Amino acid sequence: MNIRKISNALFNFDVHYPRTIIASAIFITLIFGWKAFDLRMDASMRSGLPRDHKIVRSMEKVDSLFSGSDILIVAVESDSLFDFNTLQKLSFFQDSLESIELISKVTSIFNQKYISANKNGFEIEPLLESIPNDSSGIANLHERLIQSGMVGNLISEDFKTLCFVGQINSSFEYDEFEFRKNIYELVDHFNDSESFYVSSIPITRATVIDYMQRDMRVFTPIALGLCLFLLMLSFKSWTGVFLPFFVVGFSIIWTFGVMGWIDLPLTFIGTLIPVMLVAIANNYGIHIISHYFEYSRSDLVASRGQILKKTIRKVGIPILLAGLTTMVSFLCLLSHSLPRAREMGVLVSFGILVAFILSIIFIPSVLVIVPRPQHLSNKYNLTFIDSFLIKMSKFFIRHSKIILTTLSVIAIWLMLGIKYLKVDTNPDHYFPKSSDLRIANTKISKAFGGSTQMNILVEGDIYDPNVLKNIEMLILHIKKRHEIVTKSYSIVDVIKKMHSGFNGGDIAMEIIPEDRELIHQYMFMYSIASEEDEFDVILDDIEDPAYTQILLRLGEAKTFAISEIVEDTEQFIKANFYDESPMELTGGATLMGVVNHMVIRGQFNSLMVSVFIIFILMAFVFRSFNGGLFATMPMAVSVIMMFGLMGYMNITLNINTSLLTCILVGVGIDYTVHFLWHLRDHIKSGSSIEEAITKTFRISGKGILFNGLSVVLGFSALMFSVFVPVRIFGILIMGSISFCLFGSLAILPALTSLTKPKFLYK
Amino acid sequence: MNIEQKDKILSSMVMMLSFGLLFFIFSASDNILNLEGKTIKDLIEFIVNRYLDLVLIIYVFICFQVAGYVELKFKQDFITSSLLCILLTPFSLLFIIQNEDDENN
Repeated sequence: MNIRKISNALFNFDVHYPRTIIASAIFITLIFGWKAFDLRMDASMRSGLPRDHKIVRSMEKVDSLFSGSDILIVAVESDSLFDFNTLQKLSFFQDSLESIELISKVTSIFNQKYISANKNGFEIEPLLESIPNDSSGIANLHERLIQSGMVGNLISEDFKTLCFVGQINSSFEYDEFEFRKNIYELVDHFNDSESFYVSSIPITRATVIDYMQRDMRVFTPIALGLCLFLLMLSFKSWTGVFLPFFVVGFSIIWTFGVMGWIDLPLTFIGTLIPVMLVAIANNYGIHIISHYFEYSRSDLVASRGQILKKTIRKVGIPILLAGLTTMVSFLCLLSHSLPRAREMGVLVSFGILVAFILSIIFIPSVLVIVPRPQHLSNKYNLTFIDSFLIKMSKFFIRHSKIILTTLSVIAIWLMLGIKYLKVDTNPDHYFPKSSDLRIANTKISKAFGGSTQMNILVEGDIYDPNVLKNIEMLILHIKKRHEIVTKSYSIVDVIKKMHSGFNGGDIAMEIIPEDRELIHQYMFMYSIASEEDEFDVILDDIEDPAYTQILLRLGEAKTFAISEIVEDTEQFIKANFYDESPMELTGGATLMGVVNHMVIRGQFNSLMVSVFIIFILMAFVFRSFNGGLFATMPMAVSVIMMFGLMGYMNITLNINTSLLTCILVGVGIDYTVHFLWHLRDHIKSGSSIEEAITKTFRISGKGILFNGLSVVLGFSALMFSVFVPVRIFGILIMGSISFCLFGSLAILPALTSLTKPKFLYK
Repeated sequence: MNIEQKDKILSSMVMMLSFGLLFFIFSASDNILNLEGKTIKDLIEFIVNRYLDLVLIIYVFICFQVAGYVELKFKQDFITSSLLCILLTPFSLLFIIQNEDDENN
């Protein structure tokens, strides 16, 4: 069966059963929509992680061995911090914080131990035996805080801020939103004359998602409204505005419906799906409407059926090719390391397939039933847009060399911006400087060295002095090499402190003892004097530990800095302790740094694979190597230019920004396929290349321009958000579509008129 | 039976199925508002306070659909009809249609 027969069969089906098609589309949408609205949100990290990744596995191990790896810091600032009433209130706060289900242990000045030397060796007593109520008691407490080394760790140097370090007992298995709500409710309850600051990676992560969703809820309807407004001005008809809109709407509902029916939760990455479908999937409908209107205007005598038949014959194949290539580009995400990115690739491909099918079945069915808009019956005159497009095509043909040179210079300049492209993300910088979260993170970072924690899991005979010395050497190396590491805590600190205490508090004796038995005795004595769970955070068993974890506090949660620490530390471990006890980096911060880079690498790989596959497909379609090159080059150049623009605009490359480049591939290939296919069509009909370019501009160019401008104008609304990621969202979508517009409506006409490629004449 | 009749019968059946499904979805949903003891004023206040954005979006959407109907059925300008419909409610379109009829008479 050839293409003409397929398009005839499709046309006959549309013309004979339009009402049944419309009713069926509504019925299927209802079936999908039924479950789409039951879609559950999944904000937890666990479901989206690559489960076989070594850091994920080690985090699960840490969760089972210790009382958690992530931390929460609550700092309290007050001029009268050491007043009896304030300390008593904060003591109650400590109890309340410990009662939160996810907090396994809270460390603060209220439950810390103080090691002091005595005639029997050393004595372990609570740092704060009772809350002081006079100035001598307060002075005594200040003295003990200084001696115990708590200043800078649990109390600030000016004694005006103290902090509670809460150990979160699970790395993944919890709802970050619920956790944040519980913490803020508790803080609000105690917040009075003191200032409370809360900081933790899970809280920052939940707040980013929350802000993002809130702003997207406000700005997406505005963006869609602006899109519709421009389509209204362009097509001046309900059919021109709402048929492509319904197709996109249905494709979003069907895609979410599929997720609902197969019980797939909606993750943060999943919220990009509607944005991608709005940017890509309305192309097909707009091209059908644009051609239908143009043919209606140029042939007032022909019936609706005849016009529709011609439209389907002319645009059916390019739409099929555009849809197919876009689906391929998204299916390349199947090679991605992140399960959620793989899912998104399949789901967006499904949405595009739905949009394609509905565009060639549903839209013609409606067009068969409804009369043509009144303005199409007017005498054929060139509209302002027609004249503009014709002038633009002639300009690009006449000045092709200058245009190509200028665009090449701009493209090279933009490409050079890649050297400024940063893959370092600090989520704190998403928030305005005046936001509570940023103020809290800055405050805590300044007073206590940050709220981000990296962990190193060590396996072996932990009380063996050699193992302890290895731990000490590793910590020293990390702190020396990486300024971002502000503090560390490990079993070595405890043992050294006890050894010094046992030797009359001699600072020179703050070293690791050479005798394993002595270390074991110290720990035994400590365990008798302290609470049972004292070392739950750093030892798996106080009697005979086989595992310990080193805790490193980071000043900032910078992903690139974290991955540098990971890389350097792994190299150091391999070089120095190859035959010794195994050590591995773990914890939420490590995962954040490593996964972020893994995702970006995965995205680059899938981008390259998709560009290659699209090239092969297009070379096959045009039966020419040059055909493949012409079709993929504008899009590939646009991708590089986009990364350059991100470099110049200081937009960091992270999971979301890298995934958004998929839009560029999808839209870019759509525009070039339409342009080249129709150009070849006009040349085949006997037009010269210049005439063919002008005709392509007037008919297909109009569809490309209307579609591109409506998306650019629509998403410009996101620029008004105060939240940085939403603004970046807007910039990336606007930039992607603008580059694609330039690629297809400036580079291609100039290049084809200059080179007159042979594949267009085949 | 010709193809058009067959199409109308088939589409009617599918639409009836759709309405049935819609009815089933609403009846099976446990998110139905409990209106016991509430006045219409309470209900309006509740909707305006919680879903004003949604109400506005739905209103504008309905206006566009009404304007589309007027455009295609009565051959009116879509942009003018939409603006009138949004600014002066869909009832304002009755005057345009009426005037058009008068002119035709």
